[in-house]
Amino acid sequence: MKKIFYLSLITFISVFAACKNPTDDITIRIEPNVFNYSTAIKVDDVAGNALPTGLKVEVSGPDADAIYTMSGTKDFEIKDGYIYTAVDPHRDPTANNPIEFNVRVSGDAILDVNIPFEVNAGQGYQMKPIKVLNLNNPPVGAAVAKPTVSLAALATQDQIISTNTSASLITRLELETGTQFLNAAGQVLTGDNLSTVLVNLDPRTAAGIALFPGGSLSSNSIINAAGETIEGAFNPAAVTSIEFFINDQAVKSFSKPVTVYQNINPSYINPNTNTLIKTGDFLEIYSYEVETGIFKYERQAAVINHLGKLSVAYPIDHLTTYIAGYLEGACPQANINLVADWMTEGVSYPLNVKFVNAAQQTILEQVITVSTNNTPLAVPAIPSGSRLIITHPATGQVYFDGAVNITCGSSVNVTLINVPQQPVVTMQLFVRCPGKTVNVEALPTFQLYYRLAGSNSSFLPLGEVVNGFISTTSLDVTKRYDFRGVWNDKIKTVGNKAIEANNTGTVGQGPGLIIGEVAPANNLQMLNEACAEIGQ
Amino acid sequence: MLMTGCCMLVSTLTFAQQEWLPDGTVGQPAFKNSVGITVGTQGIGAEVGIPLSTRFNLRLGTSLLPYEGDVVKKFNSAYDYNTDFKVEFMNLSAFLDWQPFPTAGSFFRKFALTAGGAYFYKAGGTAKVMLKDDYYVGEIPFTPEEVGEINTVVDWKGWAPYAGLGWHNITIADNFNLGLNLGAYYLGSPDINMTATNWLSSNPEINEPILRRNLKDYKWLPKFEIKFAYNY
Repeated sequence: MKKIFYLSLITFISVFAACKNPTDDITIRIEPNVFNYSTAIKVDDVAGNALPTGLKVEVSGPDADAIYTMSGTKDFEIKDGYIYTAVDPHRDPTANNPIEFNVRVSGDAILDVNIPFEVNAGQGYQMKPIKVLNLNNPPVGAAVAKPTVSLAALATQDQIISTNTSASLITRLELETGTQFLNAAGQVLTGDNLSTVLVNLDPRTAAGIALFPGGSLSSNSIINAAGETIEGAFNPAAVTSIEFFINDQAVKSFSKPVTVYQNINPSYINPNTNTLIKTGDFLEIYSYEVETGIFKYERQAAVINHLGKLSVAYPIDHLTTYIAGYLEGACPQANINLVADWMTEGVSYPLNVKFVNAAQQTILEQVITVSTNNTPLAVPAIPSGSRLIITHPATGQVYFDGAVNITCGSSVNVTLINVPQQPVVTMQLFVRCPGKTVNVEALPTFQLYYRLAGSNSSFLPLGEVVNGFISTTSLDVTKRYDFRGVWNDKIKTVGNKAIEANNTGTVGQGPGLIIGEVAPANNLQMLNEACAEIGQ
Repeated sequence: MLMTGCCMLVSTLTFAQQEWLPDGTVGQPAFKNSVGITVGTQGIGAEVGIPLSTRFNLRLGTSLLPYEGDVVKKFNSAYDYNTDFKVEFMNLSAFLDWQPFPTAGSFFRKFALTAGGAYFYKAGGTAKVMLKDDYYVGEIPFTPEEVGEINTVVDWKGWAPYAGLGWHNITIADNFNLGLNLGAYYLGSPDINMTATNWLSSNPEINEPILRRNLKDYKWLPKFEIKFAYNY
């Protein structure tokens, strides 16, 4: 009978011997989808050529503290021709509080730029170009000269230097005998020679306008004659950047005024008279400080005939960029509502948005992607009646082309034409970590760019890939494309890919998986790092 | 009160039916009318014992096990997670004890085999998992609340049969005695529901099947219990 007892005890114990720890093999994955607002800044010269390496990128402005790289750092740099920025999600813009910041790109071989950016609520992604003047390879419309002045000669007689005299618009500077040059601290600089960099932008050319200070004719950082900061859109007749150096030290001011003779666009329409500019008319002179990105009203200058060309002449007491022209009225806080009821919800539609003034000069151009009807579009400071052109960035198909009558403080509807679209193409990307047999569940969200295979043109935004999926009408299934993915601080390009209506691919290491052809070892390392982050 | 009343009635009826061993051997019954409290793996409880015959005993009882706590675990990741958990087992039970060795010595005479069951009106637990510290994306900190939480509910609620063994009526003093029960409820597989928020929201799809697999053998709920009873 005691067997019953022992049998009972053994049964009792054995029931509980084989249980597993409930948390065994449980791996918690964090799938950060950090940024709600990002900006891709395409940096190149006017012709689309890459810039010299080693350029310095700095972010400043009122909301600079909220701006990070896509990996959440402040180490901004140009990567494959782009600067990627994102807004700290704790500081996302709201309807009445856009995020404003400036991106400054500087370097010895370029004309430094300081471009303001505005991120508005509801506009999660934008791509904006920064056109930079490569001083060693200027485009037509940007005349660069680097004349040198002997300081010994200047000590005894006036000196005249000018921008490239082969250009149709020239700027001459008259340096008065005995002028001394001072640095930013007000100290007199000494040396044998004064070296200069003089750049004249021809506002009649697309390049001249694209290189306009601040990257746009429109600005909300303009100090007017009354000392108030206002918004406005410039209508320039002449633009000249002046830099002086003595022994590589930058000159900021002088002991005697320097006189500037600035040729102006002879076909300039005086906005005050609405007639062709002529001698006796007046133009406003504004200066622009690249360090701050602020325009400042300096004076009025009469139009004169100087050496046979319409010009303005005025004295300056510091070095910077000078603009002769007019500031046209603009309306702050104007909005456009993009009406496109033909859009399929969830499909990414890239749009190239361009505002043009009465002189057909581009005030601002940017690329955005929208995926829904009634997307709000923030309007830069533009004169009412400016022309708005919205096109497909790749095909050039025109969605809208017409004047926009801005009403201050309210939204204007702009209805986009339902141009023929390519059939919807979907792309689903899976990821499989090395050594694993199943795909990871936490799929990445990233920006995807594309271009026709072999075109060597700039990559255009295709849209945001959300959890590995994107749906678009921008791709033609009969063509092959290069794709570029930007995931956090990682940029990868996949070339010459044919597409179908529904595309799936799996990133991984093994037969049938995509690891890339350009730098597979690097890609595998990136994959391993990404997998380690999610515990695989 | 109602339950106690029923127990008294059953007790009265069964005493009238008491018989001794069929072969005429005189044994010593292990069971007496009793009330007691229990303490053990099922928490604390109360129990009424009612002898049905010389070798069979009916026990009706209830037990409560509320338990809360927190632990810090990494869950195979690089981060520490706070896990706040709460376990609750509450049941109404009925057991039938059989005294197999009525003529044996003192130790084995008080030994009994038990069968029965319980209705668990609460049986399971919840766990909330959140990061212990801020999560950084580059230089940007995100609070554990922003990262999200994983909530898991494991539930065995319902009827559960029981088998076990025990020692009963071990006299301490006068009518006061001690009992010991070892056994297990068969609960079957639990219902598991895992949900998550924000950046952790992909975890249920991955981890719920793993948890389900890990808990698939948790069909038995062990019971180790000491009873302090009063015979009346």
